[in-house]
Amino acid sequence: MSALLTVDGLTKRFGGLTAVDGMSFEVSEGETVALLGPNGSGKTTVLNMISGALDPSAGSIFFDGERIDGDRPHDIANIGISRTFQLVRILPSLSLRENVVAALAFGRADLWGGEAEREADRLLGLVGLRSGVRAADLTYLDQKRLEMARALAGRPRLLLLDEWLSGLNPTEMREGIALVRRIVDGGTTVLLVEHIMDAVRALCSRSVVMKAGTLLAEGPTADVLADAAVIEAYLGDVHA
Amino acid sequence: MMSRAFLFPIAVIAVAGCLAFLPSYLDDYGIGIMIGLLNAVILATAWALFSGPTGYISLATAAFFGVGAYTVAVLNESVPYPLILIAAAIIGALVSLSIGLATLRLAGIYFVIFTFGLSEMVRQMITWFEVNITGTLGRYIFLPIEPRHIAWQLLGLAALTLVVGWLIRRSKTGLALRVIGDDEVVAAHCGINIARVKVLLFGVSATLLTLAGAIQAPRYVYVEPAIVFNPTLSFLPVIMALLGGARSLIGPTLGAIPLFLLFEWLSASYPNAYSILLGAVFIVIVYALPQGVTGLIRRWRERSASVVQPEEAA
Ligand SMILES: Nc1ncnc2c1ncn2[C@@H]1O[C@H](COP(=O)(O)OP(=O)(O)OP(=O)(O)O)[C@@H](O)[C@H]1O
Ligand SMILES: [Mg+2]
Repeated sequence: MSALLTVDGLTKRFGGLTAVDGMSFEVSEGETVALLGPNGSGKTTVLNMISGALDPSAGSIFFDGERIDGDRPHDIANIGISRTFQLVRILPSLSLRENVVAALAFGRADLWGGEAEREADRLLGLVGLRSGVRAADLTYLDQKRLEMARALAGRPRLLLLDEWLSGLNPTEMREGIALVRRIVDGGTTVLLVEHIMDAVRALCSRSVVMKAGTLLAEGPTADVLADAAVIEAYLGDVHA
Repeated sequence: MMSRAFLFPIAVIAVAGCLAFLPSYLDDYGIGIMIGLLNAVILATAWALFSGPTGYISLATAAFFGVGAYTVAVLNESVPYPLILIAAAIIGALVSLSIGLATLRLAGIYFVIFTFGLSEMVRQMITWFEVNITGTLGRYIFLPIEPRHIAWQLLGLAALTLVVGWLIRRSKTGLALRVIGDDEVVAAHCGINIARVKVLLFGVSATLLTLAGAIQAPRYVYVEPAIVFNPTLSFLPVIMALLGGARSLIGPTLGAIPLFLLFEWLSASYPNAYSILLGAVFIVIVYALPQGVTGLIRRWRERSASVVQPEEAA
């Protein structure tokens, strides 16, 4: 199987700090892969480089055979990479529908007018929201749902989720996992950063683990989570 | 449905059509007030086309106004009037393109200061050019254009500005501007080419501001940089748009009309304290009405609407 995403020697330095240090991994089409690691290990920075929010200091990123590292975020969105944010980012002065239409109008879907509104309402329904409310008035959970609807509006071939399932109660978690599974069944490839191991086990066949910016382990999720080095990295994190 | 959607441009054209009768009946003083009012409406509305939704406060208005007036001053003896206006619009668009590109990576207070600095630079460059190259600092404008002709042209430009604003708001670009104003990171990840949208809208806004300066140039008769690049021209539209609500299409007009009349009265009654009073009004507006009058109305509407919402949501 050919890789949809290939990350090779990816490195990011912030001044003297090397947040990501020579990371290499692949994600195949249709897969759901977890990107794991203790706090500050560089997971979000990796997603930021894939989505174009940050330029890598070194290394390369290939998406569907095309080199994309250093491309502008709006170009990357338009080739089919969508993301959510670890710290939720909604558009507070826009309506829920407009929040989603924004991604429909300027992304791959290229929809506008009534067509875009209907599609936005369908996506809002999919994540369990109703249009008509103002985005600023949403609860935290609903803001996360809105972010998901907006990410889906980009018609992603690769969806990057940064702790999208964190902060949910057990019922919401079950709904959230079911939603991600439905997205995967629809043919979208998912790379997700997550601290909740139950969710990782339920969703991801394969996991990539980072520690201090480097690749610590990679393989089938069950094996990786049983790996002594991985357990130690996470236990060490408890004190942090 | 259709007729409601087009209510705004129809209303704008109808109002402009009615006001078009006024210049024939007003005396010189009345026409002067009308020109001042229309100028305020155009500058505030055109300024808010870009700065309203994005929140980028530009202080370059005087630069565009001055470039417009100066184009007329330079060309008035050699080129037919309609062509002068077209030339002014093109030059204004080009200047805005360079200012837009130069300030692309700046946000917040840096953008504010930079646009102000750049517009001072445009003034200095023109002064230098006139003194050292052409050897004429001041220029005379002798055009057979009367004040009422200027009032009519400004009326047309005001209507054009409002209709352009209406078109932008309905367009994808209008949504892009609001998304950029809320969160540029999200905007980029939605697929919006932020640089392109910003430079484009800055250019549309600046072209309208330039035309305002060009149309009013014949009123000065004698033009020199200190007159047409007056920095007050950069501040007034900001205050007016903020008072009315810069994010709404009609807000800047609602702010421009009372403030123009207030400033007119202040400068006539207290000419020495005028600048201080201007600053005081600015501070009061920013503190008391951060969202402008239209924002106040919107909040008030939302509050009365949210009374019904709980049971609906249950
Ligand atoms: N823009 C930035 N400027 C400077 N340092 C940064 C920046 N972004 C991240 N860092 C640093 O890079 C390191 C990796 O951060 P990153 O957010 O990628 O970690 P993470 O694995 O996502 O952590 P968490 O699980 O807490 O979200 C941290 O030390 C962080 O402080
Ligand atoms: Mg993170």
